[in-house]
Amino acid sequence: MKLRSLTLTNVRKFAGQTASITGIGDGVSVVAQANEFGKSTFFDALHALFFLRYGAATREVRSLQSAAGGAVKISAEIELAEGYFTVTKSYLAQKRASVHDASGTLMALDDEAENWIAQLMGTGLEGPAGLLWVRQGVTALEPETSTARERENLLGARQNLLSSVAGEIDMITGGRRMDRVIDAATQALARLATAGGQAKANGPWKEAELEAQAHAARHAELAAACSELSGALSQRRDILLRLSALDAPGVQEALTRDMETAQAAFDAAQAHADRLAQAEGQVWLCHLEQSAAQTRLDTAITSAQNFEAAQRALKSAQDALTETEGHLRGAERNADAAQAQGVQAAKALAAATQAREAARQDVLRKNAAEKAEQWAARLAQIEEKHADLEQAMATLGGCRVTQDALAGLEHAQAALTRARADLAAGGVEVQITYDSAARISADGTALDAGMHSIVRRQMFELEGIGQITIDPGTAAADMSVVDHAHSRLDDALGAVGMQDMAAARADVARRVEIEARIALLSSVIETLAPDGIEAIRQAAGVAMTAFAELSGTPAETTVDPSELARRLDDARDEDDAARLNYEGARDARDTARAAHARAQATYAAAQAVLETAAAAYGDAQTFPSRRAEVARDLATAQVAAQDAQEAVDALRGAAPDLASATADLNRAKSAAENAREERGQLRTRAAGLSAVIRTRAEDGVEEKRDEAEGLMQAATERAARFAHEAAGLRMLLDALRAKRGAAQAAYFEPVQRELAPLLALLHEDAALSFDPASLLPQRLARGGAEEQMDRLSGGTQEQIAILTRLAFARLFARQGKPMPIILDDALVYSDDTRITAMFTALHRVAADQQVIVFTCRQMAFAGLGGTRPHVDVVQEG
Amino acid sequence: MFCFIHSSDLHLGKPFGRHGEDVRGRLRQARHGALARLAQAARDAGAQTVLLAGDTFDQETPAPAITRQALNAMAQAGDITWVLMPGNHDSLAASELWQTITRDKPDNVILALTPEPLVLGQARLLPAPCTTRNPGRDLTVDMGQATPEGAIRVGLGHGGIYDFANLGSVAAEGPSGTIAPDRARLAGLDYLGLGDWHGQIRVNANTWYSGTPEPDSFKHAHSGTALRVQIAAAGAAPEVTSVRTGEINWHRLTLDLTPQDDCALLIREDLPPLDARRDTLLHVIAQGRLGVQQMQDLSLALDRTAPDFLTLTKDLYGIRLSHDATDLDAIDPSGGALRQAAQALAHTAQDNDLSAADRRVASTALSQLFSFVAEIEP
Repeated sequence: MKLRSLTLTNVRKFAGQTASITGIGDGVSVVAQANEFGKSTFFDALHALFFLRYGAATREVRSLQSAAGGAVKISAEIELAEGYFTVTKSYLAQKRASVHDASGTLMALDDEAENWIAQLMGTGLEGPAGLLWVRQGVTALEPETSTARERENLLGARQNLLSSVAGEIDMITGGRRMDRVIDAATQALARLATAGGQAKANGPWKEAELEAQAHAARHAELAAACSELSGALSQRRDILLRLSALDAPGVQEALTRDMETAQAAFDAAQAHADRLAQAEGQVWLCHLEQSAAQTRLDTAITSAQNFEAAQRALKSAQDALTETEGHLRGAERNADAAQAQGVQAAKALAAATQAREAARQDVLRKNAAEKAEQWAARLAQIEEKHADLEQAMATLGGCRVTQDALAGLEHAQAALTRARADLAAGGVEVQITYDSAARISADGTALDAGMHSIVRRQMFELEGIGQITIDPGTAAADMSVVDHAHSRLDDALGAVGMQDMAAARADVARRVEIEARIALLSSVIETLAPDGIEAIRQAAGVAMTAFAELSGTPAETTVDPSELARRLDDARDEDDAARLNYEGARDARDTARAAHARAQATYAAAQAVLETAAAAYGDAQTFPSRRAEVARDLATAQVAAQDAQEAVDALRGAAPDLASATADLNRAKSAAENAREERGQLRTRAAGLSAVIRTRAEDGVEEKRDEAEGLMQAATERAARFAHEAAGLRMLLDALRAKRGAAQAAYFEPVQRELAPLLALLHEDAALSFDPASLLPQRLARGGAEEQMDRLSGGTQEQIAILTRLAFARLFARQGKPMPIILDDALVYSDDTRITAMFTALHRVAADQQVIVFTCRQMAFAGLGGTRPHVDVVQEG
Repeated sequence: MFCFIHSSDLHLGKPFGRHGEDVRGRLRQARHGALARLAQAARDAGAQTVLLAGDTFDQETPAPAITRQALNAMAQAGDITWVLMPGNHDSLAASELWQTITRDKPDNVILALTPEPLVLGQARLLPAPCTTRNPGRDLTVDMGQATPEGAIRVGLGHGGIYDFANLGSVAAEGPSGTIAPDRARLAGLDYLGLGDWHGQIRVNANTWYSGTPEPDSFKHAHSGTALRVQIAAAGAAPEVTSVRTGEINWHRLTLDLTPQDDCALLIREDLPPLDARRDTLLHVIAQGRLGVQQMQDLSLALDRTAPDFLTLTKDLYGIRLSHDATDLDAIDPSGGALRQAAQALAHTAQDNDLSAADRRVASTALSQLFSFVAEIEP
């Protein structure tokens, strides 16, 4: 259908007027008029003519009425394939609808005219109006302001259009059946799985998985318990096998025999070692005897040497004593002479002194006093020395042992020594040296290291080794001699109140010392008081008297005092000299006396030594024989030692390896002990394992494990079935959706085919997808991205809506039912670039499609081109 | 003469965990009841001795109740002499078990724990008890021991012979063992009773596997039996007769199907009789090719039959779905997307370039599609 003219009478602002648009050609026709001209009136009137019944009094119809009221008359000239027709309707008053052909012949009137129009416009009164008619401001294919009925009608129109082109969409896409199958499959899958394809929580698949996991965990626990049980059984079995092996009679007997054999070998080796030790002991004893004999011989020789030495020493001491005596006599003579000289000098001095005394009474008195003092001092010194001497004498009295007594003691000691020596000579001396903690004991008493005499048969305990018995032999001495000598010595010591010889000697030594001191003191006293203390006392008394006398008697002298003095000096000098001489002589005498005293002491000591040496030496006449006898004893001992050594060597040569025998015995003992210990340990371990086994066995862990395994497998299989079912559902849904999508794509293909070139005018590589439910554009894909329609800009949405209408119009045209596309002030949001593209699209479609554009934007739409129909407004009447 | 019952592999205490609680209970009860049935079989056969050739117990340490109740059952059959020999499941390594049995056994139970010959009337039993789970050697070599002149020599062993393949297709499934199949001849035995294989098998005239007296799987068609053995005298050929002892049947039904088959009918024809179904575990293995509707029918028929049985399990993975236009018309006569999806799935299910698993998934998807279409209103 093509519209050629439109005439309005008494419609809206054209009250009492007839407004017409004529000369509407093919292609694009543009009615560009200013605002308020009435473009929308023409649009609405045209819409009413085709879609509103002549008898309608709806708001839309009434809206067409002019302010003057009256009938609203609309007429359009259309061109069909059959020719030209005029469709006229009058509303509200003089209601009428008519169709006339080109010759003016009435074709249809009123309802028939409505039917004629409906048939012309397609299914339903609305027909494709929503698709092809773009009302001002209502560009969208399904305006938001649409009522439900309007939307339903619009959807129906789209469905009708597409169905006519591509067939029923439900048939192609599966429609509601497809939806319900997809829903059912989706629900079935949702019951089992999440969107990610995993088992859904609380679903049967997940429950099966969890159950399988739980049984698997339990199985693992029980398997571990079974493993422990199996291990315990295996270990206990091995232990019992080992115990049976250990307890086997043959094993025990073998161990016992082994130990007995080792013990016998050890005993034999030990016995041989004992014999060897005994032989070695015998060698040792022989060596001891040899050593003792050598010692006795050496002692004898030494005693002889000592005796000779003592004799020489004594002679030397005696010579020294004699010499000192001579010196002493000489010193005494000198001292006497000096003394006499001193006396002379003293006399002279006394004379001089007397002479001077007279002159110097005072001096004499002083001198007398000095002398008195000197004498007093001397007396005091002498008395002191005397007191010391008395003290020494008293101390000497405490010394009980005299030299003679000591000699006796020494003699007794020597006798004892001889007796012991004889005894020792008959016995043996043992030198004990320890190099370990083991000790040798005798009679239960441990022996110290050192020399021990063994004078009788005696057994000694050798710790860690055994025992040794030493028999000094047939020459064992008679102890009674020793005892007697000891007793005599004791008696002698007791007689002098000494405990032992050392004490006695010490006492003697002390005596000697004291005597030496006494001698010294005596010498000193004698030196100080040669005439005795009394003399000194007297002298001191005299000096005191003299002094006392001088004190009371003045001196008379005629000699020149200087001369007296000189004489006195001379006398003094002489006196001094005499005195000095005397003092020197006296000192010399004292020295000689001291030397003499020392010589005496030395002589005394030499005497004591000689006595001791003589005691040891013994009788000189018997000494040679005794020495010879000792030499013979030594030779005998040497032979015995050699023989003993040979015996030892022989035993050593035949000695079994005691260390090996000991080690073998220890080995056998340890083997038996190890076997005992191992049995004990094994029994303990077996008991522990039995406890574990009983506990696990009573729990029936194996059965529980196998049961858990079965349950786990059953749950696993169940989960696998659910997984398989879910996989099937996913594959089913994928297939359904894929096919539905393909069907939908095929369904919209005609639209897409028409729309693609139009869309390309605006967006390169753009594609529009349609919602299969609403058949409306849903998403625009461009530049690799997809955008929802409602997210696009208003201009883009406007453009796409119009292009879609153009595509739909093309479909109508393909069906042989071309319909004009009527746009009333569309493309209001499009920019200059896009609007030009839209103009091109309109012209593209207009190649075989009538496009009528109403616009007030004369300049903007100047680029649209197209024809400009003639617009007239004529006043009626 | 010596007459006895030869049995083995009772596996008392086997848990059957894969089955439901009630089925497990029935199976365990049946196993325990096998002892009484063996005793009765002995009485019916005129025998006074039952030889159990190993695996009387399923585990090395069964729950105390299992052991005690088994011994009690043997004690209750006091007129029967029971000979228990360790198998590989209840080997001598299960020392705790055998200590308990030794301690608690009744007088009519004899334990064959060593290879030493046991006196059984005129006969001498030469046992070969399993020392461990896997002895790894032929324990029957000791059966050549000397016995009194004229004594009937009966060997009792447990394990696989090393020549199962020659015993036929069924036995060929058995794992090769170590026992010489001609041990009876080598050892001069009048009879060798073996255990371990749960199906009854005749190895030769003198050597038999008794099979388990109470079946425990679908594997062995000939199980749930024992052997009655009668030996007239030393050197005489044994007379061996199979006796039924099983209570629960394990029935495996294999169906080879074609699109022309009436599955429901086939199932009905091959099912055990009604009176036996309550005591039967049925496992249906279907293979072949079926149409979609046939598949539905088969599943439906099996589902309807299942309550007759103790359990009914099915394995339909061997079935390859085939379809035609009729099947597809049922889904979508218009040739629309539904039909196309069905066709795609059917094609996938038969695409040999895909794995069997993927084909099965496609087959399942197709079945699901048919199910959904059938459920919704057209």
